[in-house]
Amino acid sequence: MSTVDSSQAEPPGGQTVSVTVEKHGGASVVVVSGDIDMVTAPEFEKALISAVRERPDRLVVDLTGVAFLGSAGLTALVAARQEAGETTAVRVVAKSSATARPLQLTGLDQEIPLFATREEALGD
Amino acid sequence: MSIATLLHVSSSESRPGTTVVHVVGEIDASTVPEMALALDSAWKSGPRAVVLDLSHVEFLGTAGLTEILRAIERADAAHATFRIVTGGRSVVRALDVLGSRLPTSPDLAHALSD
Repeated sequence: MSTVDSSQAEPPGGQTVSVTVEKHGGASVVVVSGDIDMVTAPEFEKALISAVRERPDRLVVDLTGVAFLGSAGLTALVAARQEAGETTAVRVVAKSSATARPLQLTGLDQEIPLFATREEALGD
Repeated sequence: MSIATLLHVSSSESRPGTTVVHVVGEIDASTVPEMALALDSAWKSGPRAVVLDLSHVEFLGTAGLTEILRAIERADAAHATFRIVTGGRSVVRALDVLGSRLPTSPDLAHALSD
């Protein structure tokens, strides 16, 4: 496991999101923490797209440390799923109502499989 | 900025408790605030249902998808119904990325029939 990229956005509103990418064999794990809202979603999307463009077998987006996932964040996940096509399997780790519920409510969990833990998302 | 994209948004209460937001034109990052405003005021009236009529929309970009996802969440929070009238092929394709569980109708009559 190695940390290859880390970025932080600290917009004026005080909201922050931090994104770190880790490698686990053929899988990339994007570890996100903070709030994903209108302000921070572009940073989140940028990190997701550049991780997808490295064409890992699997991209796991770990939202365990995320306290808020707004609709702009959902769209960012959709964009990453689109960019991934058939090359990369995109999976999301989300357990809290703040993160899992918006994905389930909008039906996006049908397109992007949801897992409670990172271990499960990295498993078969 | 060369050619401005145009969006025309109007709302009507097609029957008591149901607000239809009609959108005509292209929905992108520059025009989406107008649709967002119309949806906001539709929800403020405490409707039982909001129908977003996209049957006259020629382009639906990701900024529009974000507003649609927000509307789904808002409807759930308000215990109300939200439906999208899809119409044209470009809108159907754009919505396709959001998955098969979207509350869509092929035309306005269908959306108002529940």
